[in-house]
This record gives sequence, structure tokens and C-alpha cells, in this order.
Amino acid sequence: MSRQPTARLPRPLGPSPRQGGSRFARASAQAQRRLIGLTLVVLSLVLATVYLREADGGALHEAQRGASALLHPLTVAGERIARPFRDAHAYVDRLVDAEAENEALRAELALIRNQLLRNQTAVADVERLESALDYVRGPSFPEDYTSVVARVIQVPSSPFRQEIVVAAGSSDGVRRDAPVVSSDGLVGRVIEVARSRSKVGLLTDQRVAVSASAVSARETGPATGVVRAGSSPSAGLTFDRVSKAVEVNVGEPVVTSGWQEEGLQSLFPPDLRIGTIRSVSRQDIDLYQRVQIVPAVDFEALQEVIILTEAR
Amino acid sequence: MILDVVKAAATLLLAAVAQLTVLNPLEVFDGPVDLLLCTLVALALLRGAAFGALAGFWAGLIVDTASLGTLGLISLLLVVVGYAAGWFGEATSAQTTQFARVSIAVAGASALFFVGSALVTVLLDDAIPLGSTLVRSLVPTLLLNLLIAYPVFLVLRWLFPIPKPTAREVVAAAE
Repeated sequence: MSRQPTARLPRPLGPSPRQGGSRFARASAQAQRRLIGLTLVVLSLVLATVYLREADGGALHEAQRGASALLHPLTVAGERIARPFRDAHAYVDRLVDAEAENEALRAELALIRNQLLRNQTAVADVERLESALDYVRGPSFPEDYTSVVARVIQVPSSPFRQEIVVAAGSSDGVRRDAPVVSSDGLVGRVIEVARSRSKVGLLTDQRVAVSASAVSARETGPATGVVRAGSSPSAGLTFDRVSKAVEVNVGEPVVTSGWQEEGLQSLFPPDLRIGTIRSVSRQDIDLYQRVQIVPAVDFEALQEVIILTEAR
Repeated sequence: MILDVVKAAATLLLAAVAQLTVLNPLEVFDGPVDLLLCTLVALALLRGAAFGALAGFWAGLIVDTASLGTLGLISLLLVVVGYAAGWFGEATSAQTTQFARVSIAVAGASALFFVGSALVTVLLDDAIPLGSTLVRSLVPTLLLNLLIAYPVFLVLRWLFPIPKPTAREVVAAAE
């Protein structure tokens, strides 16, 4: 193989090491380069520290939101260019699993048709009983929420950050901590809001957790716990803190529990679908059951999401 | 020099936007190609450590701003990556072939950035699944980066031609 041409020594920022030719000039240039590097490292650390310590409305946060608004047209344009490629990519992905998915969906449809009949009767019973007992409900979805439909303009930028950026912000009525859903179920919550965009922490992000319950009726009471990210983004979700006293079964749906207690309430309205129980294990040394959930939402294929804001 | 800075700023802005909006969603075997990192490494190889560090700082600011991330974190990582790639470029400019230099620099930068990201996440957040993420994301990203590294370098070398030494520098070098 022929040897490729080598590069000449690049001219670095600041005085060139060749300039002057003396050892002193070279050492000085090297020291200057190190100083620039060190200064930038310190500046980055100061920026990160101030950003993390200041309040949400602090100067750096505001500056970031302002700059983010300037970048917004560029990122939206980029997203529009990428969309056909993303669609094609998703289409090929879906084709691979289409046959198996079709069979699973047919089986699920038959099951759901039966459930629907039972649920319609149950709903009528619940409404009648609630009205007889003057039962007061907390906010529930979709009645007590308005929704903002937003396009996903950035997907997770690192395997360590399970976040997306959507094209709706405070100007659209989006608030921090607002629940985010898709047509399939719960996606996560808003963790950062700028004027025209928001950052959403996905359920697969280690910093997002949601109180949840398994919906099947049981004599031992509802199986409640906290759903959080699994051991890896591909490992699904973990249904944590589920008491060993209650029975949970593979295949049961898990929904948000939407608790209310002493003036506090969950960020998420009740009955938003989270996923289906994939596996359950009980070990003597554990305080709680180990429950794994298959998320209802395909977080890698999100294109639009619905951000919920309380209407009242 | 000023023209170089302006061109580098614009190039990194475009690369960052392309990375965040076009390339991140197109994962191949669970790993996206990192155009921004390859662009930064190429700039650092062509212009040296200090320029690489400055370019990394700017690129990090763009990413942190566009993704509403913690300002300074990606900058910190990319400053280190840019400086290290520039230092490597200066140290190896006369001994190695271009292709090998670029490949080694990009592989090292990808690994450095990945380990740095993991470290920052561990310091700021809960435990992360490092082992599985390493296999799932680093390896495909590394391979994809290596695939585009040299073409990106060639484009950047065309955009940022290596400056001819001044007469004074030639004389000084001869002495």
C-alpha cells in the first residue's frame, strides 16, 4: 500500500512553536496552549456549577432559553429534513417484526373485545355508585386536562440521557413537570421549558419515576408501586416497591395511580397506560417483589407527543 | 486566523444541528454516528490543541443550548476531546500517515467522550447501566465514526487549508 502524504505541523493558536526557533519561544507557545485549554476547562466547570446551583429562572437558564429560541428555526428545519429518513428507518424496522406483531395484535384484540364488554358494565356501576356516595375525584385525564400536541425535534443525544426535545414551550402553555403522553401511553414529564421548546424526561430516564398500580382486580388490594427506568434503556421499566403481600401476574396492564394525599397529588393523572408486566419474581432477601414492565410506548419511534396541562 | 475562527464556528454549528436533528435519530445497530465529534477532531488535527479546545467549547455550548442540557457539561467534555486531539495531531504530524492519524484520533476521541459522558452522568445522577450501554452504543458509534472520519477530515482540510509557513518561520526552522 502506498504511503499517504503526511501533514505538516499545524499552526496552532497563539505563537507558533517554530516562531523564533528558540527553545524559550517553543516552551512559551506550549504554555500558552495549555493555559487556553485549562481556562476553557475551568470556564466549563464554572458554567456547569452555576447552572446547576441557580434557580430555574436564573440568568444562565434565561440566557440558554434565549439562545435556544435563536437555534429553534435551525433545529426545526433539520428535523424536517430528517423526517423522511426517520420514517423510512422506522418503516424498515417495523417490517422486520410485522408478522409476529400482527399475530400478537390479533390475539390482543380478541382479549380486549371481551374486556370492553365487561368494562362498559363496570363503568356504569362505578358511575352509579360514585353518584350515590357523592364521591370526589381528583383531576382525571382527559376531562380535566387540555393538551398540547408537539412534534419531537430531538431524540436522546446520548445513551446516558433519556430525554427528547419537543417543539412546544411556555408560549404554548407548557409548564415544567407536565405529564407527556402519546397515543400508546405515558411517555414521561416535562423537565425543562423554554419559550418555543421543552425537554421531556422519558420514563426510561433514571431521574423520572411515577407512582403506578396494576389494574386487575384482586382480593389482596391493588398492587401499587413506583415505575422507573430498568437497568438499561432496552431492559424496559421496573415496577418497584410492590409489596409481597399482593399478587401480580405477567400480562397485567400497569397504569398511573394518580394519588392524592394531604393537599399533595401525583404529577400524573390516574389511569394513563404505562405498560404490561413482563416478569415477576419474589426472593426471600428482597423487601419487595421484582417486577419488570414492557413499556406501552416505543420510545425510539416517538414522532409526536401530547403534553397535558391541567385545565382548571 | 479570524476567518478560520468564523468558518470553524459556522461549521460546528451546522454539524451540531445535523447531529441533534438528523443523525441522532438514525441509529444503526443502536448507535448513532457522531459527525460533530469527527468534525471537532478534524479541526483539532488541522489547527492544533488550543484551537481544538476552543472549538470543543463552542460545540459543547451549541449542544447544551439546543438540547436544553446543563450548560458547560458537554463543553467540558469537548474541550478535553478537542485539546487532546489537537495535541495528538501536533505530536504525530510528521510521523504517521493521515489516514492512521485521523482514525486513531477519532477512535480515541470517541472513547474519551463516551467515558467522560458516563463519568459526568454518574457524578450527577443515579447509577447508569455502563456495561450494557458500552456494548450497545459505544461499539457501533465507534465503528460508524471511523467510517466517516477520513471523509470528514478531507472536507475539513479543504475548508481549512494548512497555512503555508511565513518566510520568518522557514528561516527559523532552518536555523
